[in-house]
Amino acid sequence: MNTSKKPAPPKQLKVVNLDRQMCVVRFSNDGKILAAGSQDATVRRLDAATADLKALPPMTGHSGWVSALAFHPDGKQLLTGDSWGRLTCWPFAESAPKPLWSVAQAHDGWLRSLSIRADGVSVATGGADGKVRIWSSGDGKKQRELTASDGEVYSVIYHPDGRSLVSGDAKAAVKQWDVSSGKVVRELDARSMYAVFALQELGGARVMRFDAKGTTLAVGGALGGSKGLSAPCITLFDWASGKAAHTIKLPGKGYVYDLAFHADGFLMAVTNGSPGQGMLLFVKPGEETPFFQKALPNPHTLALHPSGKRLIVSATNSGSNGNGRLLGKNKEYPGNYSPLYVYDLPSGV
Amino acid sequence: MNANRCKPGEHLLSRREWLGGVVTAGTGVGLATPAVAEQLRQKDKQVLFIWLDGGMSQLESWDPKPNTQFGGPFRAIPTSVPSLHVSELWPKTARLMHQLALVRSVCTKDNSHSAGVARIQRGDPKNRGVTYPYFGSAVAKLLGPTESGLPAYVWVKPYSGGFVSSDAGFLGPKYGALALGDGKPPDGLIRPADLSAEDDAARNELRNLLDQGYAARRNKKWTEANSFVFDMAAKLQKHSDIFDTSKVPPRDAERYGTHEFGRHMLVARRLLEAGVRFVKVNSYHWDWHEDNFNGHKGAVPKIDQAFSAMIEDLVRRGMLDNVLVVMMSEFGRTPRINGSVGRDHWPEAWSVLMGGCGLQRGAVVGKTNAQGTWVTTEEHDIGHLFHTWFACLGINARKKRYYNDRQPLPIAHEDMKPIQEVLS
Repeated sequence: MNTSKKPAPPKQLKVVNLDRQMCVVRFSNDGKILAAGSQDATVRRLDAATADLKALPPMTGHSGWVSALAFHPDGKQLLTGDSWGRLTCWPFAESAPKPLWSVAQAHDGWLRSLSIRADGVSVATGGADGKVRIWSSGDGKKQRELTASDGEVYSVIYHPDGRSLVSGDAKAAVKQWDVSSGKVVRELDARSMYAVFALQELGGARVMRFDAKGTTLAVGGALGGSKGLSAPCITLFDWASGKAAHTIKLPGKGYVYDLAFHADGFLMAVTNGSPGQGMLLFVKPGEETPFFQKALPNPHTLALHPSGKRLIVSATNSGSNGNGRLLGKNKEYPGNYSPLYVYDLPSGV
Repeated sequence: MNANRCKPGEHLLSRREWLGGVVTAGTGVGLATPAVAEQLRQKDKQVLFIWLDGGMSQLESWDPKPNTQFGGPFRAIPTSVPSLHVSELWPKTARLMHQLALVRSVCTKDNSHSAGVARIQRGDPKNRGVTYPYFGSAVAKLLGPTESGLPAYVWVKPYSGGFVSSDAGFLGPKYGALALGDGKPPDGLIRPADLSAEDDAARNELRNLLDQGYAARRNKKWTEANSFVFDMAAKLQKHSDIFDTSKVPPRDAERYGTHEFGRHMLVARRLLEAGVRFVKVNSYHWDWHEDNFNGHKGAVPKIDQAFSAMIEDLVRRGMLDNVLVVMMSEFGRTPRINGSVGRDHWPEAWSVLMGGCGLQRGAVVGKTNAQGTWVTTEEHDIGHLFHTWFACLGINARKKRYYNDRQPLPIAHEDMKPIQEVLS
């Protein structure tokens, strides 16, 4: 990790509005395609080489929300998962992609997260049924099933070495699994990200990311308290020891919804709080305060271009909330949508 | 965060508002025997009113619209009623829908908690210049206690308890709710071991004498309520076993759930078995402006568990024929999913689940459009529901009147009528 550079603040280039709300956005490995998982069950493809992120035909076949997606290291396949439990592999670069394979019930219910092993051989998924399942990325055959939680698995991620897999659940139980044996190696203590208040169960290990070398695991969520959750936070675990090295309490309210490590050694996060509230934040591990923060209306996800020089944040239109019969200009009942904020990330100096 | 949203005033009730000086007498008796339950079934209609405060989403419960713009992430599942689907979050209740009745055409007026909670529970009658009673107080007035003599209106709720006279509106404080904070008995209900029955009776006699002096100097409505509370406590003492958790079979505790709502529903069942006319059970914090889907995913299974266990028990005991069950909130939630992945307040098109006591089992009344935004059949306001519930209880709300001194007042909105399609 290069921590010597002083990151420059991002520069907003433009905002491109999509017609629906997106759950997740990611760049393809070559940076040419931006894929977006939508709340309308489609996988959107946007031409990232064009100034206005020209929309390519969406990929259909999912149900509910497309809540997880990841590009295969071969640069040819995109894996997507939805809230009804389907996992699909797409030749995304084709003009009219048809699924290479699809598993309708990869999970009984919401497929929350997926991660592809660095060698591309397998994909791990986690879902509402408390299971982590490992699939062959070549044909979608199930290779292993792990009972990871008595509730829901919110996040899964392979360690860059491919030998370990980490699951995080709705109660913020973070477990390291040995991929070859299917055994739990150890648990990492992220329980401060979970709270019970009346019948509510709040928090969880919402999102996890490794740095490029696999020395640090970042877990994003919110800090729990006696009356619910108090603030969005990121806990950084030293992977060698498994100890929490640092918890960064972020400004504002709500959860950390998405995270990315930049090659220059800092973390980028989006938080989403009350309606209209949220932030894009850049923070260096070890520091208490973000060196950059910008208020955005309810951002949900971010995509870092492989060059490290472009960032796209998917947020929400302003005025997305309101009680009762609020109608549009033509008396229609309005839905919400995701504006994509496009940023340049200048090199450090 | 949602946890901080709902701050209902009743949370502030002090335990001192409990039947503070209540003294105890008599001994507890067991729960209703099958013979007593049969007697109740024949003679005394009862109500179980479950209030999910803050506004449960109709889309994540009784009127799912999967794979539509506002449908959210969840699937719909089939139920025991052919062609009827509900949200996947309710698998246990789904299997019991043939015992229940669903109205999917509820369209009410208030989209704020402050107005909605009271107006919905009062039936939103026309403004007559008086404060109407909540449903529980209305039933307490119109039907009175059952033959058990137990308090007619008992409210099992989280947080603190007390005697909530405000529910009664113009009927007067004695028709208020005896609120059991955290489902626990009033402080002092159980006679201390070192107080003999004779001494206790002597204390009560002294209190009665003092009460008479007190009553001579005060408004009759309040002194009546004061005496009523003590009488009520005395009757409740005879059923103190209701609160003895050691008498709850472990299997029941497991079926209802050891969480707050499960415990409270189990107390509610025991209150119904003992003969309480109207039992209200509250759950708070359903105001999911943020993180609606994870919120429902976390909380609904607890409601599903306890509610389905209750319905099973009422059916098994033959009580559902006589117990009207209603589960509802002050409104539903917006079809539109806001940026906080939440849903806001939506009175325009929502659903109420009910069952038992004169309701047609397996009935489904009303429809919303494909996106769940508007009701496409006849709209039903809370007034229609009050007429329907009164009809179930054998009360003709078109004819029956309250009397506020000499002023006759309709007991439900006079422009509305029962939903006939849901009545058996």
